[in-house]
Amino acid sequence: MSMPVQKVLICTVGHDVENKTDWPADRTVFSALRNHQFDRLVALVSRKDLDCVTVAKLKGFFKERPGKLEIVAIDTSDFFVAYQAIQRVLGANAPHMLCIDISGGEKVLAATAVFCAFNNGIAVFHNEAETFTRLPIIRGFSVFVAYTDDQQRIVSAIKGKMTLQALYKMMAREGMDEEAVKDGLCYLKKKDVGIVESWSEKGRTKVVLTEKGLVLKKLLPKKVAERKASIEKEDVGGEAEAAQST
Amino acid sequence: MKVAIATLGWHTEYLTPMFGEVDGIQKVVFYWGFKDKADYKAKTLKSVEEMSGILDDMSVKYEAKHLDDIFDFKYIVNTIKTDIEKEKKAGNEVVLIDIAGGTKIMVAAALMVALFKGIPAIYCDEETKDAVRLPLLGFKYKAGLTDREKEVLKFIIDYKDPEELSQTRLAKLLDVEKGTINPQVQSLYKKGAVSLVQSKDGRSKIVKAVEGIDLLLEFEG
Repeated sequence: MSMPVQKVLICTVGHDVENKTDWPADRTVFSALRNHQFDRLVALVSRKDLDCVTVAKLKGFFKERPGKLEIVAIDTSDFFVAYQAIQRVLGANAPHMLCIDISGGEKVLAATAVFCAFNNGIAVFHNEAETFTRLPIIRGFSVFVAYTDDQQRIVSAIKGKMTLQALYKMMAREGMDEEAVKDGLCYLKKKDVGIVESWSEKGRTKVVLTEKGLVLKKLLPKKVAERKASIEKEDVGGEAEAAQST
Repeated sequence: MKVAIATLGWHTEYLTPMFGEVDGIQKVVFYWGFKDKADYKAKTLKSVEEMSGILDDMSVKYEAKHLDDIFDFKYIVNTIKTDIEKEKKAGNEVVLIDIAGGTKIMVAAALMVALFKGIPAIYCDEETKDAVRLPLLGFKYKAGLTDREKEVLKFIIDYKDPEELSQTRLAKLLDVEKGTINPQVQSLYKKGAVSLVQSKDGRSKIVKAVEGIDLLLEFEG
């Protein structure tokens, strides 16, 4: 049975060392809770901020509401690790109505969340010093919409310069036949698409991602199954269990 | 001349890595501002002075642009956008946008300009102080709207009396049946481009463009 669609509020939370206003860090997060309707809250917290006052207050706030709070620890020391972690959160919650509030937490976390939101078409809000801002983002418009699932899988699979045969083998293991790979590559190699380049070397066809292709590979969210699994294993861990069991 | 755009907060060390990212930056336009508290003002001014000194030492031209409101997203986007156009008119090339400093809203505004203008953007890793180049795909965000939706949205944005624009009135002004305009308004609503608010007399829904959505149309013509 499919899960009913929920309103999921994703907030950046943490200790903001550079908070330039008189607002304490927790006040920005609690103002987000006040400003948005939601069924469930996902708090994105920098790993180093997991013990901060705001997180403790959030746990207290949701104490009597099990399952309503999910705390996801994000490693913000590497922008791309943080980016993929947030992509996984968005992917795992994809069936639901999502919105992101970046009022709380550190700036790098907010910047990463905004970047993800632009790429995935998720509404973003910010509230600070009584100024409420909604970023102009077309909801539901993802930059990945230009590529089919098969094409995205091919891009994710290409590693360096590889032979076409090796790519066929790799994709076959994922259940994609040669025809589907050929179709996908045909589109990705088009001049105006420019994601993959191919050439012949010693009688063998080789493929490589272009610069644009490498960018796409970096941005592409991982498969839903992987995203869900990794969230359960890596990001949430004990924190989520603790939060949800309260 | 190669120009870099940057948002400045209290730490100049977040901006200096940009020089390692692109060869031969000859000019930097950096934006700064502060909230009205005295110590914030002092910290920001110190940072501006420091940044100016660094650029002087490097013989790099600069413009230190004061932002009146560091939380006004639309105003910041428009300010940066106008300055980029000014640089282009002067024959200069904006090669980089450094989004490492300032408020979250300054960062988000600079990021949006970079994404929409297709200008490479960097962020400074706060721990290693290395520049991180953001991978931008270079696509048209406006492709998320159909041509007809863009036309209707443009009309809603330009309408001089937004408090009065019900769906019935909108249909009348566009010379179409209400049943024709309804799906477009609903679609714009679902995409977050317009809001629907109850009229004062409670008899109809007023269609309003969401604050800042005009930036999307402006950017991509």
